[in-house]
Parts: sequence; structure tokens; C-alpha cells
Amino acid sequence: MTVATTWTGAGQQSEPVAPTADDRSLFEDASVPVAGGRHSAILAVPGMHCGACVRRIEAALRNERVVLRPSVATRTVELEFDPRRTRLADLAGAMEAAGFPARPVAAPTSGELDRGTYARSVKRVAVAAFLTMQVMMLALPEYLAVGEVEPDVRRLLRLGQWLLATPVVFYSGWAFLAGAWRDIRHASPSMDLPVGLALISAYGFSAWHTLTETGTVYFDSAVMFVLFLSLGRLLEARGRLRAAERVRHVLADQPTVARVLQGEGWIERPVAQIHPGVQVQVRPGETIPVDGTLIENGAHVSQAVLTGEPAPRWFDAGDQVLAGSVLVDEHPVRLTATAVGAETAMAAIGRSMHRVLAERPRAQVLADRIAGVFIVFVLLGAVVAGAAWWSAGPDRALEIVLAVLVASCPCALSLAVPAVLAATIGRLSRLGVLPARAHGLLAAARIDAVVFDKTGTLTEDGLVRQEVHTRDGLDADEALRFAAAVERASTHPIARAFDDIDGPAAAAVRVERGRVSGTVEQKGVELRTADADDLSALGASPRPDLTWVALSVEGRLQAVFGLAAREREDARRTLEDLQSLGCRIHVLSGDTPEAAQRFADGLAVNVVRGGCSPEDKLAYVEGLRRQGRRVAMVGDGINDSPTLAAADVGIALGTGTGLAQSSADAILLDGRLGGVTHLIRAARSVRRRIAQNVTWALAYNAAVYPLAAMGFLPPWGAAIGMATSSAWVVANAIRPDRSLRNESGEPAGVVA
Amino acid sequence: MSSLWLLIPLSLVLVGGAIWGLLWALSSGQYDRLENRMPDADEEDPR
Repeated sequence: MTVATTWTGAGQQSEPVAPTADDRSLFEDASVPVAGGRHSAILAVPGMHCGACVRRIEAALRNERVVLRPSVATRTVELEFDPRRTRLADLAGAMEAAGFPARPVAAPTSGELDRGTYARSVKRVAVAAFLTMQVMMLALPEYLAVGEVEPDVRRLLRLGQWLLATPVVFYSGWAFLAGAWRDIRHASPSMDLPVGLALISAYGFSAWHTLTETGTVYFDSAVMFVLFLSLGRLLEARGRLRAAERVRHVLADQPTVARVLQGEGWIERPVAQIHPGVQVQVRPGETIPVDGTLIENGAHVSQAVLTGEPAPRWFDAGDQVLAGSVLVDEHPVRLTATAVGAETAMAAIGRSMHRVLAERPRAQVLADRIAGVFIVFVLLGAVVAGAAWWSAGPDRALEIVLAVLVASCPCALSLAVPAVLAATIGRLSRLGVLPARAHGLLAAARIDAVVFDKTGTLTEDGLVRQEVHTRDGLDADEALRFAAAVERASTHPIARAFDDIDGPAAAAVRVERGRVSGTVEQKGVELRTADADDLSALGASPRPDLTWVALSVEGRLQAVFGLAAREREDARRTLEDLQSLGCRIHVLSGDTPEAAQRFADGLAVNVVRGGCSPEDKLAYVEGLRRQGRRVAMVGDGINDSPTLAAADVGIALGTGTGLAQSSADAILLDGRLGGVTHLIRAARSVRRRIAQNVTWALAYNAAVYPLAAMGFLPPWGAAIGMATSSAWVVANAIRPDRSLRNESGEPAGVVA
Repeated sequence: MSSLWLLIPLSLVLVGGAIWGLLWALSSGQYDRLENRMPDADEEDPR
């Protein structure tokens, strides 16, 4: 079970939640079947902001035999349950009874809640920023003119600081105080404990010193500390909010009603009540509500939400379009629903994104554990240093304790891993690569062998001309012009072999099984599947790996064309890039060995295997792993599922259907192979940056702890140091990655 | 130095006003969608 704990959600208060609907129907269509007859659903739980909350939810569901995958980052849980034993609405009821109202993540209110929380944190930071400036101003005279300030003016200055610091500590800094109190009650120290202790003691002693007109005041340090900490957490929350919003976009930005055909007319129905097979109408500019196949007309559809590719693509009648894409044409279209609600490709993508955000890779578990131990040391160290200074002379002891508590707070260490992961997942999803498992993202850094399935992966639909043989007296260009003319209007894969030839379309085109005919320049032209006689008549050697078509003009055989599978657009470049990254390229194919070899010729391929059954492919990948190779397998995600699962990193070329069942660690959403390169580059940079961040955080804390304990660091200096170190870690995570660029050469923007 | 008795309360009033202004701007939604393109006055209304 994955449990994201500690720090991530702290720093934000629990917010009022929307009332959970009594209406149980909300939950009815929110789950999808998964393996073993169980169901899975993602619920938004706005009140779940820390590890302790997760444990309370777990306790509430203990008797229900559910698998719980909580993500504190996005405040969502994935529940896997047995629908024969229990119902989702009952589980949600149990959670609500425990104080955590939950609703399906696709419910329209869940996004509003997060945005509300974010707006409140912005206000807290804004208040802290304004008042901190003022407190600084009033603190300045005492720093500049030590001992020269008259007592009554000093008193006035201190009272002013006190007044200004109070809202900062108790409004802006409330989350830290509440977190510290929670830690004390549960006896489980988190980062909030040293922070809260430092804050309340700095404030308390300063107030006491103001009243008694003795000692020093630390209002300036306290407010600065609150400002920097809450600013750091705000930036972090912003990254998380963006990641969560993307998940929610995928899950929730789908229309809730659709126009369906009933009798003669169209009526609006809730999407939840639509079943596969129903006809749905979509108007221009609308989001398509269901997965479905287009009827009658083709259409331009933008799949930006699904693939990150904003340019609309043309879909023919009969093609499948996916829920969440937007119709950009000027005319309405009709489609037959094939999948609805939680079973759409969109919902599957949303679930994968949730899973990857909920997962805590080993590096993070380790960092959290180190941070937990560190906090205990910080507290002990503060006590020891305070005691030592007290015995030497009590006037500086308080200052030292404050400095130690503040300076050595291992905030940066806790942020080191999640910041990098969140930023990278955001970047990759912009490039059309969806990491489905966090450990896969880390494992991809070490890949040294990439295995490609040939058909449907390195090649795509559509054919390309390899050989042209004509009868004497007809030149090749003319033959191609005739062939292109009759295929102009067709969308058949064979037609794509003649895409590059310009010229007019044929008149009176007729398409029959295995043949297409029409009139070109007043001549009857026919293109059909060639047989052995056609080939021998024109002296072509029958290469078995090619698809042969014959061209007849006025009933007389004039030419034969040998067509081969079309290489995917960026296959060549991707293979070269991967080799330059130090990966050996293996290509497996179900074709004959000769055909596979011929395909691989001229491509950057190290090993080719033809005649592979799915079992052979699986055995091949397992063999490579036994040799100590770290293998990435790239396949279409459905037929190759077992092989994808067997590889260290399975990468599926997802185009909609079947994503739900995919066992892949990453999915290439826009069908571009370049995503494999992006994934490996991103993974390498993730590893590098995590290492840098952890090293930096540990080095910073190790260096600053003794400085603070020895009295070389005033509390305000400690606050700046702590904030800088956290900021450095976050900045390192989100700084642009030059190795990741999209097709147009622009760097992938930082999403998270 | 005695001017401080006026200036400090005055600064408190001013910062109070500034914070009120900011909170007002925040809650009236002016910072809600920072990433969107600015509406263009010359552009025709799409609806």
C-alpha cells in the first residue's frame, strides 16, 4: 500500500468541505472493473492533508477489505473494492463518518475546493509579506542604534512590532502552530514541530520582553520565518495544484450531459445514463462526452487534453474519437458511443496519473525517513545547545535555541524528491508522454537496451512504395499518376502509398472488394490486388514481404507496385537518438526473418529477430534481462501486455482503446516514438536532480547546525538560510530541462 | 524622535489599508487566471 505521509499537505489548514451529496447515485458510475472482479474508483478527499489523516481513513475502512491508494499531493484516494461485498457509496459514507467527506473526483465541486484552498494560502502569504516589511522597519532602529534608543521610544517600537507580528504568527503561521500541536498530540514529530516551537517561543518571549521592557525581541525573525516558510509551501502547493489540476482536467472536465438520439429527435441526457451503442450528437466547439465511432461524417478533432498535441486531427467516419477531445469543425457530428464514464480512455489516463502521483518511490521513502530522524536530532540538539548556553550565561540561550530550531529544519530534504518528480511528470505530459508508474520513471534512467515491436510500433497504418514495374511504353510517372488519381478519395492504407503524387482525382470512382476503379483522362483505370501472373507478366520478382497491387488501363495490365509497411514518421530519428544515448536497439517482428531484416536495413538497429510469436518476444526480453541488461520494451500496449510487464520499463504506444488494460510504466499518448527518448532523458535528469537535491539538503543542514549551535547565526539569518535552501531545491526541480524539447524545438514548459 | 508617535500609528493605518486593498483584489478574482491571454479589445466577441 502506498501511503504518502508527513509534510506534503501540512502547512495548509483543513478547509471546510462541500457537503457530501446524500444522493448516492453520484457514486454509482464512479467505479470501473479491474482485475479479479474488483472495482476501482478515485475519490476526492479535500480534508486529507497529512499522513495522520491517511491513517484515520485506513482505520475507518479497515473492515471493508479495500485496497487504499491515497495521494496526499492531490488529496485523492484510489479505492479498490469488491462490489459483491460492498458499495462505493457505503465506503464513502464510512469515510465521512470518520471526518473525511469524499466524492467521486469527477464531481464538479472537487476542483473548486482546491482552488479555494490555494486562494487562502495566497492571502496568508500576502498578509505576512506586507506586515513583515513593517516589522522590519520598526526593528531597524534597535539594530542600527544599539543602546541609543530612548526607553519610551523603544517601547513604542516594540509595541508596534508586537501589534504587526500578531496576525502574521496567528493568521499566516496558523498552519505551523496547528501542525506542531497535532504532532505533540499524536507524539509523531513532523517538520511542523520545530517550526511551531520556534515560532511560538520567539513570539512569546518577545511579548514578555516587551511587557517587562527587558532583553531582546525577535518579532522580526518570527515574521520573516513565517513569510519564507509559507512562501516556500505556497510555491510547492502551486506545483501540486497544477499536477492535480491536470489529473482533474483529464477526469473531470468532461461534459455531464450529452445529446442522444431518441426516436426522431435529440434529447439531453446525463452522461452517466448513456450506454454503449447509443447515438450521440456533438456540436461544433463542444467536448466529446463519450468514446465513440463517428457516423456518416468525418471531423477535425483536437485531442489536446489527451495528448498535449493542440493541432486538430482529421478523423474519418468509422474512426474512433475519445471523450475529452473537442470538435473543432463547423458542423455537428454524430457518433455511436463505445465507452462511457469511467471506462473511457480519458478516465484510464486520469487513473494512471493519479497512481503515479500517489506512489512514493524508494528514494522518497528514504528521504522522509532521514528527515524524521533528523527532526528528533534537531529537537535534542536545540535542548542541548540551549542548556549549554544557559549555563554559560542566560542572555543568549533563547536566541541560540531559536536559531538551531529554524536553521536545521530539514524542509529541503523533504522537498528534494517530490518536487523533482512532480515537475518532471508535468513536463513529460506536455510532450505526450504519460508516466504511469513513478518507479518506472526512475528505472528508465538506467535503460541500456530498447526492444521494439515492429508492426504497429516502428511502422504505422498505411503503406509506402518500394518497387514500381511498368509495361514497356508506359513510364513510371504516368503509371503513378493514374494510380494516384483513383486512390485520391480513398482512406485505405494502400491509398497512402500514392499520397505524394499530385494530379487530378479520377471521375466515377467505384470501390469494390480488392479493387478500385475510375475514369482518368477518359480512360478506364483499375487498381487491384496483384496475383502471381501479374508479377511474372511484368518481370517483377515476387518479394513476399511486399504488398503487390496491379494497375490496368482500359482493361490492360500496365504496371505493378510493390508496397511496404510505412515506417512511423519519427522512427528513424528516435532509433538514432536512442543509440546515441547508449542503448542497444532490438527489433522483434512477427514477419519472416528476411522481411524483418530488410525493414531494419538502414535503420539504427543492433539486433533483428523475425518470425517471433508473442511468447518468443516475452522469452527474448526475459533473456536480455538475465544477461544483466536493463530493458525497455516499446509495444502497442494490448497484444504486447505480458512483454511490457516483463521489461524493466514497459512503454505502450497508446492511441485510445486498451489504455485501461495496459500494463505499461509509461504511455506515449500522441503516438510519437520520440517519447521514448524524452522518457529516458527525463529519467536521467530526474535521477541527477534528486541526487543533487538530497546532497545539497544534507550538506546544508550538516553545515548550518553547528554554526547555529555555536552562536554564529542569528535567528533571522537562520530563517533566510532555511528558506534559501528550500528554494534552491524547488528551483533545481523546476528549472528548464534542455534535453527535453518538443517537435518545434521549444523547451517543454514547466507544468508542475 | 517624538514624531514617531505620529508616524508609527500612521504607518499601521497605511499598511492596514494596503492589506485590505490586496485582499479585496484577491477576493474579487483579479488574480484568478494569471496564465490566460489578456482579452483583446479589438477582438470580436466570439459569441
